[in-house]
Amino acid sequence: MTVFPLKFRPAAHGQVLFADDAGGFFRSDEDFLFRYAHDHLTDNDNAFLLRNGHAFEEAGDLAYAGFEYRFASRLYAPGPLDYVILVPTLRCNLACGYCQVSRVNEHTPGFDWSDETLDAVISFLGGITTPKMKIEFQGGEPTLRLDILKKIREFCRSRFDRCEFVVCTNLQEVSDEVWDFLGLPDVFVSTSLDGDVATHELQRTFKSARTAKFVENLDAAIARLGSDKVSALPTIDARRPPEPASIIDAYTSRGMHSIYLRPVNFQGFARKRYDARASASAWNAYHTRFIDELVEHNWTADVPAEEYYFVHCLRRILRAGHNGHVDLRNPNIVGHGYVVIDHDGKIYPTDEARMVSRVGQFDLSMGDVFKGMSTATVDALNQEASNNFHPDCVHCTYQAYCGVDLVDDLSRYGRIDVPKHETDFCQRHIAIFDKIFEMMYSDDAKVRKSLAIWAGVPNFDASLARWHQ
Amino acid sequence: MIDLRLEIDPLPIVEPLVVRLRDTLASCETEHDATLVEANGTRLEYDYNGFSLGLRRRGNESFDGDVILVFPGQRTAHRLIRSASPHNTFLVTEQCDQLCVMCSQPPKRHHADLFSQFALAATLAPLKATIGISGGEPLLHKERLFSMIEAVASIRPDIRFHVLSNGQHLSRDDVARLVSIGTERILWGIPLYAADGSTHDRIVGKDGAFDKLERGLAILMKAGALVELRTVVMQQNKDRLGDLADFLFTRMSYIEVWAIMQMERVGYGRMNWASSFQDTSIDFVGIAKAIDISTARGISVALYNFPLCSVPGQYREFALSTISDWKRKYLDICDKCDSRTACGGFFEWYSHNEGFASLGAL
Amino acid sequence: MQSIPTRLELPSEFLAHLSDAIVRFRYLHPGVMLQVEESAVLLSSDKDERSDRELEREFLFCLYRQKVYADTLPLRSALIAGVTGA
Repeated sequence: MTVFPLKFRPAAHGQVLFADDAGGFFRSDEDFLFRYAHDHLTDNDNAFLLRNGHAFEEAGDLAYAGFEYRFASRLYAPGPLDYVILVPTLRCNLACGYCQVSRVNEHTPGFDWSDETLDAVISFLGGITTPKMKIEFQGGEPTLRLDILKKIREFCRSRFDRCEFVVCTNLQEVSDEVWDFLGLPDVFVSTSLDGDVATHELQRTFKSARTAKFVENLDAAIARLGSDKVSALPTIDARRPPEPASIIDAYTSRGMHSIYLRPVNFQGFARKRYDARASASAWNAYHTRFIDELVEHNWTADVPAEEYYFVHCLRRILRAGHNGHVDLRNPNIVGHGYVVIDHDGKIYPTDEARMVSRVGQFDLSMGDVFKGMSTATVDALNQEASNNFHPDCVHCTYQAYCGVDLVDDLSRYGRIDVPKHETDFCQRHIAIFDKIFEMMYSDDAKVRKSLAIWAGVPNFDASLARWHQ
Repeated sequence: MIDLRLEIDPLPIVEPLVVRLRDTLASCETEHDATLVEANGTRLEYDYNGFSLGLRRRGNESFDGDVILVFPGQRTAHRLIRSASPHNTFLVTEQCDQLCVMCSQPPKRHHADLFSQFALAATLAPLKATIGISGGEPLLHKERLFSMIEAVASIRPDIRFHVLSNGQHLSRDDVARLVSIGTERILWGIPLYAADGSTHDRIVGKDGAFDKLERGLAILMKAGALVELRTVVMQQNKDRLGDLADFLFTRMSYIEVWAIMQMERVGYGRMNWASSFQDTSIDFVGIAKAIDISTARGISVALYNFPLCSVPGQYREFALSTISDWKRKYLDICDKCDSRTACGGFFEWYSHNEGFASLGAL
Repeated sequence: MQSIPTRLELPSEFLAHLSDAIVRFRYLHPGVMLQVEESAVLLSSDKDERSDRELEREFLFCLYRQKVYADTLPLRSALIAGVTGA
């Protein structure tokens, strides 16, 4: 019998977590680790490993083929280009403290698409062959150019079988015309709600009259469009975060039960105000508190809530092929399934890449809509985009569930070869995965209830988190 | 219960004959079509290439688009395809190399080769039809079966087949052939009753079945085949569904769906009912565990042949309506049930005396 | 604070992986001083707060990982080949 390579990570109370490259896992003890490392596995060990999908008897047998399939399913293969982020203007009518997109003031000329750029973008979209297309409008504040939004939507609906449009708006000033556009059946709203109103004002609107207007518009949006069409995200400063309960309340009271916590992203404007070298530990401490608060909330709430990214990571542990989030993929091939088109017509593989380029660190652009895509830089980056044989990741128990984010590394450290454990990306994800495994091996009924909800099952069966003695 | 046979005036034929019945001349497209010329109460008269074809029907059922198989000298024809029904199955052989304890179609020694007739009938099926292929064990005649599917695929690329097989007669050489037939063309319904060989072999009445099946499943994975893994829940395996869930996840994540099925009280199933039937309406624990484990891991699970009221509320969404229309019935208690249209009902031969203890209108 | 080194004897089957383990251990634990003898390592640290036992354990884990990596590399390569080409 042959055992697939096992990675290990000590956990509390002398226990050790073991995992393989296909994402299979179990907990055991240091005695087992000793036997494994010294090639002294017992019959009992072997029987367990074979049963639990970590071993095979003959190459090509069903156990081997099953492992190979699960291993392959963990790898991300980009699909056709069917998701495009458009930045028709950098002008914005707010000046949020952490703004990461390098905004300009509302009346500044020269930061919008020209007519030529719009034509070139339409021509670019026209060259894409795919049955469905998702367009996300970002900015600045995209509703300042409703005319462009309308033209793009009209073109896409004539060109693609199925379309979806997301407008990332601050909902600060919403004219009747904008309401009409947001009310269209294939248009969705994405906005920011930084927790309770006080925090929101502190970070975004600064003046109570403006805050009140935003809240009025947000509530109107939910009432008019329905909570299925409106999503909001909180941006959190981990050094001065709002109480978790206040965020949960602000969201669930508005019918929004999926809360995606995002740390302030220290780029662009944010660098001027916030310390860009803040470590991940403050964030991790807050995030774990938030999850604990959700577990309490879900024990008694009529409608349960979730933290979107935590649930995404939980599902990545339990199943393969869960590649919906662009930041957490292995290999993280960028510039294929989706691209970003900036206010000047330049094309970028990700929004982060656009910001890294704009602050002058690296030029990660992929050509522009006038001359066409050119992928030399992105191709070079994609060569390094896998964690399977990375000298740190290869030994990590979480490798199969994790990914790489080279643009984030570039943005923070100016290079992609920093030892992983020193990167913000690794520290944040290790903390999340540690928390998830701690919960999966917990007996606490409240924890198991939330896990079942987040895993999408009636009960979180103990077999999902196996022990070997 | 829908009768799959029709009374027919015997035809002067020497070979089995496949005919498609049409109500109007305009809809006749091939030499195999027969047009309705007269309807007199229960007797229907068709014109088939200048010959008269007489059928008798009960009630007002329409046969437009149906395909029938007529044998020399016989007074009944088989309704191979009912065009208005999604449930059409070709019984391609009654030979089998297993003796499953719950078998609804006990095997026979004799085999009548009707693959050419079945191929023709399939090409006459309605657009995008899915045709069941069953037995006995269809792969005992693998070469004929594959040739039939290939012949149909070349003329009717829209037709899909749902092949029920024990998966034990495939070899590595079949991979290339399966790929060239096209993986989307066949859904393989393959039974596996337990994760351990001795339980599985005992249930299917054949030593070594499990080992052969393991090899077959690896071959199907290699060929990118679509597999519907079928497990009938019985007393013999009801406590081993959790182990089977782990087995399927670790070794066969590629399956399209895991169909957990209730027994059919016919054939050997009826004979062995008392020692095999598991009343899941009062003990659903094993199935719940299997569903919880598999769903969390991204494996699709479906419950086949479970009346909705026999399934606990949290798991009802997994229960599909799967009993073929021709062998389905409802009970008196179903008259007042709000979920009747969604529910698949009961097998025609369901006996409430020996059936589910806990049923009731929803 | 430890200035007296702790001595960790190494089983012979691990010696082939010693240099790889040392490279990795050094960049993971820059505050720990490491001396190599024939079949043992000496670990000491002024800056690291952890106990002797913990340091030994960390080093052994590095050694285990390098051995597992080397022993299973052909299998891993076969898996990748099976997925990307063969």
